[in-house]
Formats: sequence, structure tokens, C-alpha cells
Amino acid sequence: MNLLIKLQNIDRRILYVLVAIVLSVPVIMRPSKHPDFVFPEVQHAYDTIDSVKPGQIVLLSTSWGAGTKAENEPQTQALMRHMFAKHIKFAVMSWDPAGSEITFQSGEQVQKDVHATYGKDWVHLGYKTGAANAIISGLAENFPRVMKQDRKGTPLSELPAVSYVKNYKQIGVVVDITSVGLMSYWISYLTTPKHIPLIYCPTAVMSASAYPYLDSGQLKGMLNGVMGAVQYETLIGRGNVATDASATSWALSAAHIYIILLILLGNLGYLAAKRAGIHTGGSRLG
Amino acid sequence: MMLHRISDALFPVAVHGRLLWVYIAAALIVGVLGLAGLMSVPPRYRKLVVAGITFLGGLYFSLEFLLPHQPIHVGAGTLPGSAGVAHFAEGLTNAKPSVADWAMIIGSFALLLGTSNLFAIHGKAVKKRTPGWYNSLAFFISFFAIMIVGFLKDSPIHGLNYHAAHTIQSASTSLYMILFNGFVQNLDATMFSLIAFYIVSAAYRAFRVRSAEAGLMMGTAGIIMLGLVPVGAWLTSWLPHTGPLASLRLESITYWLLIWPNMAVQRAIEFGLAIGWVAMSLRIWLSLERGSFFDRQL
Amino acid sequence: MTDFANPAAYVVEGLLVFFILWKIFSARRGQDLFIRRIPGLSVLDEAVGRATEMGRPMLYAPGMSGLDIVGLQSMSIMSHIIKRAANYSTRVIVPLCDPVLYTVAEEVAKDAYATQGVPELFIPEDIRYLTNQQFAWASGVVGIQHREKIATAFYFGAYAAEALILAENGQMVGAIQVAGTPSIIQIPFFLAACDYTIIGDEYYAASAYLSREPTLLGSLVGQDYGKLLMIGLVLIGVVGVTLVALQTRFHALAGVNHVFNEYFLKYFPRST
Repeated sequence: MNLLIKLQNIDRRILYVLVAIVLSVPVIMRPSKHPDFVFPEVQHAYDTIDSVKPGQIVLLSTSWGAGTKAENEPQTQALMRHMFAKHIKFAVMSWDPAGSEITFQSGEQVQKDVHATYGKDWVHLGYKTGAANAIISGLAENFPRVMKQDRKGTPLSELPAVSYVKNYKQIGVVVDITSVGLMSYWISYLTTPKHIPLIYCPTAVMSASAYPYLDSGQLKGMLNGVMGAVQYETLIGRGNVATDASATSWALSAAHIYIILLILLGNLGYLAAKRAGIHTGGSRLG
Repeated sequence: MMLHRISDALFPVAVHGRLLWVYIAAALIVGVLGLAGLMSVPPRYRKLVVAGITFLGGLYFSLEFLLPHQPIHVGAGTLPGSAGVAHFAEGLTNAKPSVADWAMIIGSFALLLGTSNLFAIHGKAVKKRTPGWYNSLAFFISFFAIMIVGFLKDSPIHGLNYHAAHTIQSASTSLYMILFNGFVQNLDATMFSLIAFYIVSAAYRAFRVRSAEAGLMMGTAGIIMLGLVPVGAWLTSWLPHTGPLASLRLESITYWLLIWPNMAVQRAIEFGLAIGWVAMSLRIWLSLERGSFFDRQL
Repeated sequence: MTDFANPAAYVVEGLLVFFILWKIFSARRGQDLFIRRIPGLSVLDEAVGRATEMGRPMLYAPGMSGLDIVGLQSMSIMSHIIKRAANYSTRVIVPLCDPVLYTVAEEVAKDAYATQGVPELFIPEDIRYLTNQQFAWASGVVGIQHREKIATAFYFGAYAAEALILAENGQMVGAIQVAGTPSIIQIPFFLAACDYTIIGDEYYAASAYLSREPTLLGSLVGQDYGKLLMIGLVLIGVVGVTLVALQTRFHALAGVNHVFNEYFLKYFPRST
């Protein structure tokens, strides 16, 4: 009984060491097994990208940095691989200064892997700052005027991948890969008024709030954190490749089981303490 | 149309050379004159000026969205005046790229403001040798280090022979990679990774089943946590993929919970937040907002 | 009109604006308006008192808010807390993430101390702009929490992932924590780690609740009328769509469904 009561007060340092071990093992082992289920919103995202017409580009809006790289980079790279394979041209823009460099490096990594060419198959428009609503609604009306040049300073007119993009009519799909949530700006100022499909790729913790938009049709698909990325990798034929996404998904599995066990232990201790008449916790105010 | 022509003539998309300096000087003069004009407004009228500018600024996006962009047809003809309104609305839409330019310029000034604030705060700390002043010195060293190597790695270097320029550029690129990939990215990722540890201790400490509702919440959380990861699918992989028993697979229950109860509650909270947002926006737009910041003497 | 706005947008927006303005002007004319108790806000005074008893400073963190609706609301709440703290000569440290909001916060804090008649208690160094980078700001705030050994922490503003970092570290130093954010996804983390959390649009009600200013109270009541309008529309939609689904069995419903489709569903379509 005393042991059970003590179980609800385990030193947090022990918990931290254990979670570090639990997370590290799958990341080091890098299992290649991908899940065999795919959520409908991930399938819809895949189908939406697939349906982009020739003469249109996909606009990848990225607002993530090193902090959420583990979740957002697999999403970004899975989408890039799909678009490179289908010869769909795309442009990446970043709302985060460090993220601009990181997403460019991610793109270069995939480009090298699939032998694509920067400027011809894809471009990176660099970091944009300012009121998102003004920038988004501006690029809808005059894309080259607002975007002007890529991150290296090359005018858009000299980049075959985007030289023909004049306004929203040449944008086939917008993909919002984010850790801060710019979805409402894209919906309000571009994708819903101009009837452009929007795919949302948030971190997992943000995905729960996107379901009303999926239901209303304002989002055409969603990649739910790293699990969405790993399911997308299954769809693009990388279901047996050991990737960062697959390793992270198994690390997540292990961590979730660990947390559930801890919560169960804590509650066992709480019930034992309650039975023994020992009061624990409660507000420190009022 | 005429306004458009005047605007295009006065504010071309790009200017170069001597004309660029003329424009910069003109912008500075206009800015100074505008500021002087605002400061010379008598104090009792200043709030009115601010209210007027706020109202006009907020009016742009509202009008652009709400005004019809096509003439309104009534029977065989059109509503009188609707063609003019549509033309005006089109003009507002055509102005969006210019508004976007202004937004980016103002956003860039905010960056400058942030940097100058940091310089002021840390400069004072270094000058006065306040406790922990070496941290402020580290700020200056890292700021200039990454700025200089960042520029050197991408910009052409003039005035040096090819070999020297190439060496400097290669060295800058390597140093930039060490600073950015090695320091910035890893430090950022490390801070974010702390959340993994904190969620463990928070969940362990706080999640107690003190009531039936808490128990229901725990059960649901457990199902969703397992249903979203591969191990959850594995736990119920023995159930068939089709048929009535398929809905008992963990990923199916998880999906149902996300798209029905979760979605309904999220929608309800979003409605409340959106109406709160509308109310506060309306109060600020019409200068009805109250509070110490809004009530202060200008 | 644009491709998106339809008559329903005009009607619903118009009604929302009408309700809000009507109630604002009614409140200004002296109408008495009721607002329910919000537990997270009614303990603010106690939380300030606790910091005073312990002789340790308080922390007010507006999160990642910039100069926008969320940030300005945070400044209103901050002003209230500083006024309370000024009565007891308790320090309030405000670390900021946005340089523009920093200038506003400095003015608000100075005003708050001056209003309470103690302008000399205002310490400029307590209003600190740290950085605009999310985790650099979070680590700076964590440093403040541990070095200053804060007794009370208030988290009111726009928060992202750093919410849990701040809340857990506040727990570690033994601070009482009260949080409020319109960022729905961070509310569970605050609920787990803080003593009191205000949820959803209670955040926007905070300034009205604390100040009892007629304009703000009126706006709050107007918002509630707006919510009733939304509930009414949702109910009409639910009943209507249910009747449409039942039409295959009860053909007599065709007339009702025609009216519903023509005068309601046409204006609230699914996005295409």
C-alpha cells in the first residue's frame, strides 16, 4: 500500500531519464515499418496534389523552424517527393527567418536524391515578413509583384518553374506546413474566395482544431503531424524505407505507452492514498 | 483608372540608381513632415486624428470584401450606381499588391525595431557591467558573427583576386553551417524537446481520475493516444478491416472521436472565439475600446 | 461582390455588428448588465496577495502576442494586475516577445503605477524585451522564473509550444499560476500545469470582467446575443438537414425541404 502511495510521487528526474531512453531506442534503431492504415484526410491530401493541372504550381507555405523540424520536415519532404515524382512545379515560401534556411536545405536534400533542378522544378521564395493577410491577398492578385524574386535574389521571370505564374489562377493547391497556424489567413484571403484547395500540415497538437474546416470543405486534406507524414510516405511508395518519419512514429508509440503507464501508476497511487485517508493535492488558493 | 495611372507614375514597381536615392530622400522628407504635422495637431484633436486614420485603415479590407465586384442586375437592367460601386471595388482589389508591399515594409521596420531594442538593452548591460553582462556580450558576438558570415557566404566579394575571394566565401559557408546548423537549429530543437519531458511530468502529476467525467476523459485520451500511433493499430490488428467489428479497431474509434465529438466542441469554441474577435476588432476599428492604453492622453 | 460573400454574410455580419453596438450604447446609457463569475479571473487578487505575503515578485508573460487583438487584451489584463500589485508594492516582471508590444507595455505599466499614485514604484528594467524568437524567449522567461523565484505567474496572451515549458517551470519554483489564452490547443497544457485557466472567449471577456467598464460589458453582452444567433442558425440547419434526410421516407416533407433549400441552405453552402 505504501509503495502504491509513493508511486504517485516519483521524482521527476527518474521520469525524465526513462522518457529519454524510451524515445531514443526507436530513433537509434530506425525501424522502416510504416503503418498500414491511412486516414481519409491524408488520402484526400494525396489525391488533391495528384489532381494539380499542368500549367499550375503548388504553393508551399512554411512557417516552421528547428523546433518542429521533427514533425514538419517529414511532411515537407514527403510532399516534395510526391511533386517531383509527378513533375508538379512548386514554390516554397517561409514566414520564419530560420525556417527559410531550413526548408531550403530540406528541398536541396530531396532535390539531390531525385535529381531535380532548382529553378526548373521548384523554387524557394525566401522569408516573408509583414501582415500575412495583406501579403496573401496581394499575391492572389499579382504574384510576381508581391513575391518579386527567390531567396537568392533571382527575379521570378528568370525561373522557369514560376515565370508563368501571374495570379491565383496559376496556383493549383496551397499547402500550409506550419507550427504556428496561418490556416485562417489562407482560408479567408485566398483559398476560399478564389476556390483553391488548401492542404493543412500542422504539428499533431494543432490538428484537432482543424476538423471543423475539413468537414466544411475549407480544407481539402490534412497531414496530422509526423503520423500524417508517415502515412503520406506509404502512399508515395516509401512504405518500406527507413525514414525519419517512421523512426519518429515508433518513438511516439513507445512514448505514448510510457505516458499511459505512468498515468495508470499515478492513479493507482492516488486511489491507494484516498483509501488510506491521506489527502494529496488541491488548490493552493482559496 | 486615373488614380491608378497617377499611382503607377508616382510609385513605379522598381527604381534604380540615382532615382532610388531621390525616392528615399523624398520618403524621409514626407515622413518627417507627416510626423511634424501630427505633432502640431492640438492635443484635443489628436484622438480624432488617430480615430480617423484607424477607421480608414480598417475600412479597406471590409469594403474590398463586402462591396459587389459586378453590377447588380435587376430585371433587364442593372441597379443604378452599382456599376460605379463595382468599378470602385475592383480598384480596391487591384490595390492589394501595393498594400502587400506596404505590409512587408512595415514588417521589416518591426524587425529593425526589435534589433535596435536588443542593442539598447544589451549595450547598456555591457557598458554598466550589470550582473550577467557577459551574456549580453555573447549576444553581440553571436549577432555580428552570424550576420557577417551570412552576408559573406552569399554576396560576391569585390576587390580581391579569385582565389582569395573563393577562400573567404568557402570559409564563411563552413562557419555559417556550424553556427546555423550546429548552434541555432540544435538549440531551438533542444528547447522544443524539453516539452517531451515536461508533458510526462505534467501528465503524471495532474491526470487524476477524481470523478466520472475525469475517468471518461482519461479513457478517451488513452484511446486517441494509442489510435494515432502504429502500436495502437497493432493492438487491434486481429480485428477484421471490414464488417461491423472493423469499427472496434483502435484507429477507427480514434477517427470517430476526432471527427464527431472533437469536431463539434472545436467548432463551438471557434464560434465563441470568432465572435469575441469580431467584437474586439469592431471596438478598435470604431475607437470604442476602453482601457489604460486607449484612454491615455495623446 | 466577391466569389465568397453572399447575402447571408451581409445579414449575419450586420446582425452581429448591430447586437454589439446596440448593447455598447445601452450600457453607456446606464443599463445594468450581469456578468457571471469567471473563476480564473476572480482569483487574480488573491494571487497578487500571495506574492505580497511571500515577498517575491510576480511574472506577467504575454506570450507570443504582438500588437494585435490578443496582445491588446493582454495589456488590459496586465494593467489591472499591475494596479493591484502597486497597492502592495509588489514587483511585476513582464518579459516580452514583440518589440512593438514592448513599447505599449512600458506605457501601460507606467500609467498603471501613476494611476495608483505610486509612479516611483515603476522599474523600467522590469518590462523587458527579450527576443522575438519563440524558444529563445521561453528560455529567457524560464531563467527569470528561477533566478527571481517568482511567487505568482500570469500567462495571458497568444501561446504556442512554449506554454508547457513556462507552466512546468513555474510549477518547479512553486509559483501560483493563472493562465488564459485564445490558443485553444495550448489550453490543455495550461489546464494540466496551472492552478487556474480561463478558456476560449473568457479571455476576451477578461477586460470587461476586471474593469466593469460599460463599453466592454455591453460588448460582452452583445457577443452573447451573437452566440444565440449562431445557435439559432445551427439549430435551423440541423433540423432542416434532418428533414431533408427523412424526405426519402416521408415524401410530404418535399415542400418544407424546398423552402429550406431555397431560403437557407443556398446561403450556407459547403465550400467547393
